[in-house]
Amino acid sequence: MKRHFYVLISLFISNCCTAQQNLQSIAEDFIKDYTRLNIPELQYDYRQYLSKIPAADMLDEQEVFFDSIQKKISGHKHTFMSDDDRIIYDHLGYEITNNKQRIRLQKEWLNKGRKTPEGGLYQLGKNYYTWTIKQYTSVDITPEEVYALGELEVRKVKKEIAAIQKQMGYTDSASFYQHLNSSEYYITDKQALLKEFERVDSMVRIHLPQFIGIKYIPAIHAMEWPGATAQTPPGMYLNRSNNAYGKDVFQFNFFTKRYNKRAIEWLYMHEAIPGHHLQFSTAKQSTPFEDLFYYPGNFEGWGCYVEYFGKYVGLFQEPYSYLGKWEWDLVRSARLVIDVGIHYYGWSREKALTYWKQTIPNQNDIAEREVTRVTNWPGQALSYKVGAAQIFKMQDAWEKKYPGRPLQEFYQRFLIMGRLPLSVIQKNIIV
Amino acid sequence: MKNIIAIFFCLSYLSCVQAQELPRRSFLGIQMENITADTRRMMEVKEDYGVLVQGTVPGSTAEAAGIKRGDILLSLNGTKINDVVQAVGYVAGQNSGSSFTYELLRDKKKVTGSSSFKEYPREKYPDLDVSYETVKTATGLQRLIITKSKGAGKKPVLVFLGGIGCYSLESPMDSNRNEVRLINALARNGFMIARVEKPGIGDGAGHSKKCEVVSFTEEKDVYVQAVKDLKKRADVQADNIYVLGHSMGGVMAPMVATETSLKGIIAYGTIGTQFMEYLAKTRKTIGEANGWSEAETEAYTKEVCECSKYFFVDKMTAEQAGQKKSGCKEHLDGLEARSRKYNDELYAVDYTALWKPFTGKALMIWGKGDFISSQDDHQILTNTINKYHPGNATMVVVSADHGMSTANSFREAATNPGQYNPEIYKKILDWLKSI
Repeated sequence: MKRHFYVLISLFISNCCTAQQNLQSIAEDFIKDYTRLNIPELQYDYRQYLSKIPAADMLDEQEVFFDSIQKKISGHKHTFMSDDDRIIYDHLGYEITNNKQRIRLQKEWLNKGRKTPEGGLYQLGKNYYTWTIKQYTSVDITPEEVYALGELEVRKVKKEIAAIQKQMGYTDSASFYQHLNSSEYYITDKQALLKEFERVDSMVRIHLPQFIGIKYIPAIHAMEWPGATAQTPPGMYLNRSNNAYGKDVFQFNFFTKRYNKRAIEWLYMHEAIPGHHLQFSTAKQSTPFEDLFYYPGNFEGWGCYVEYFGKYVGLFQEPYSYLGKWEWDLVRSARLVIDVGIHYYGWSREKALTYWKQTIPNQNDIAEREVTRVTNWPGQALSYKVGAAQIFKMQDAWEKKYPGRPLQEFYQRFLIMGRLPLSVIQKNIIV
Repeated sequence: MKNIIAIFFCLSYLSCVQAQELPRRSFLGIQMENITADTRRMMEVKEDYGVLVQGTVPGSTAEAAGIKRGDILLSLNGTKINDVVQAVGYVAGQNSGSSFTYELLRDKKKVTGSSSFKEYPREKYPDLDVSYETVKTATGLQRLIITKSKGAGKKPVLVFLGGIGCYSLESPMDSNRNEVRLINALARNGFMIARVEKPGIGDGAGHSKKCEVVSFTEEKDVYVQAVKDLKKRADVQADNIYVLGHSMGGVMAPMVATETSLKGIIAYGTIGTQFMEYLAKTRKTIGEANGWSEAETEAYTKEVCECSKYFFVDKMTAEQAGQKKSGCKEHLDGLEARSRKYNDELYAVDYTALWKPFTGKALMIWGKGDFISSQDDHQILTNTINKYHPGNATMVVVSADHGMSTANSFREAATNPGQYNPEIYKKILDWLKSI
């Protein structure tokens, strides 16, 4: 009897100690070890990123870590999870898969002599670039699909531009672009520019409840970007939690003391409302696990997505404002083709510049800069259009699943999920 | 009476020693941004001066003083702070341990407070001893940083001299800095490494003439004094002292040798021909590094030569040369980071005459990616030394850029340098062991 009792006790202990660790606690364990594993963060230059890849022994250690996390979550069944747990599970799974693929690719690179190629990632093998795309977009998409999307978008955008050209009364492109380059399209007075941003802000706020179903968005303050240079982007959003001003801020680059009027509305939509400021103001509080990562496809994808809805928020009433949106969309679309061209198909710089000049009228002045940017920073420029395309796909799926339900519900569900990879949002947005 | 004299002597000696001790510089530890009209509007403040605090460094003076992100620092010790450059300069001139008052704006209200400056962090390594000492010359007090492996005994010494710029050689916040990795690697192999700061740099700010105004000779005198002081130390093998000159430090090295008698000199990425000739040669390699066409490089080289003539021969300022020829101001601005006298003395250097008397051993190191110095110059110096003292000079070529990062070509150095190349310290060590 005594012997049986011991057996029972030990069975009980065994059961007790192999019980599943909950997902929240696994995520906490993940944080503890992840930060000491020397995993390189995204860099502005792929060569800089390669220089930060640690030695093989550290990659081995990383692999052991991701295997152990995979083992911990493997017993959990997706079907029986709460919504919150399902998101943690999918997010952990996303990072495990992505990192294991990274480790494999980086080990291959080390084994082949740790060479850092000039002129693009294609020399590291096609899988490396495919992984890079996912790193920035957080979407499962092949380079071939990105290229095809780029070509398709270029054709669509050109049609939009041609229609506006016609609407503005220009039959030949030369005189159209000559007109667009005239001084009437440039604001040189900063106060006038600030007033323009105020006008756009007021207009969007009037229409926002109808468009997105959200009534209150905190104030955002426009200011010139201190220390901006010619190389600094045209604008930037700074959330109050991450700046010294104590306010939510939209900074614009006024370094040259002239600002293109056609860029005011779409840029404000992208950086402020209903773009990044709306995103930050409505997202749920992120968890420490989520704070470890940054997915440009989510943020830039949303910023790019909302630019299509300017007319829904009272903007793009003037043809030139609407044209500005498409002019920049053409740049973003062409970047898809050039990014894949350089890093997947091995295009030379000359070929990329030729493509730019043949595809994008009136913007030869930034061709060199843009081709350099895409060459140095593979994948990043895809996060805008690929991200937006993915959100459009989610919208389609939502409308099919819930016909007749207001789209505002979709927007709110997307926004509240916050800073997750797009592929994780896609899995969880429809419940 | 004898006692009284003895006490008087001690007091006098102590005060003298105390006066010679260079205090550690202060460390405020804030990230700052200039206040613009937009910042004032945004933060609803009227004050047209001050700096916006973007953040504070953990463990810093600012954190201890209660300064926070979002504060606008208006004054320190009653001195109005106008911008970031002024704030940095002001703090650099304060001694650690000294008390200060501050006034700032927080939530539009003025807040005052006081605290004392913490000292700037020091370099610390578990297996090395680092001490901060003082060199006194006519220009003032300069910092000497000694790094050596733990343990007693006399050590051979390598005196490290930096390049032309007015920058500090210490790096307490970043032990991965290339020079520091080289220095520490050599220290771990039994050498005492002595870094001599330029006048007015690092802890020397406010205690000696500014780096920007001293002459070439005044700077060289600091290095000479440092070597003389080192020779007197009980833990130094006085007849076993080398100078490791980086870039312009390699020009200073034989001058130091003339006055102190060195066992050897190691020059990395240095100059070996008349300065205008050096400029012309290296403009070519800069063009190659930047991927310019031959025609572009040729035009650039020609322009720099013309501008340099205005500067060195005609003694014009960069501004005056710029009026004479467009683009000259931009080319020459960098040279004006040093004084007119410094540049005149540099221009007057006769490299053959400089190295000819040096009877010690010499190692010339040039990196394949170093487009700032020329391989030719290193070969010329090696040949010159060997002509007058056969067998004394050796030249090696390594895969590195001017800053000692891994690079196999000028282009690679400009676009994609790797990390610190340990090949440099190995070559130095092999050479030191061989002599």
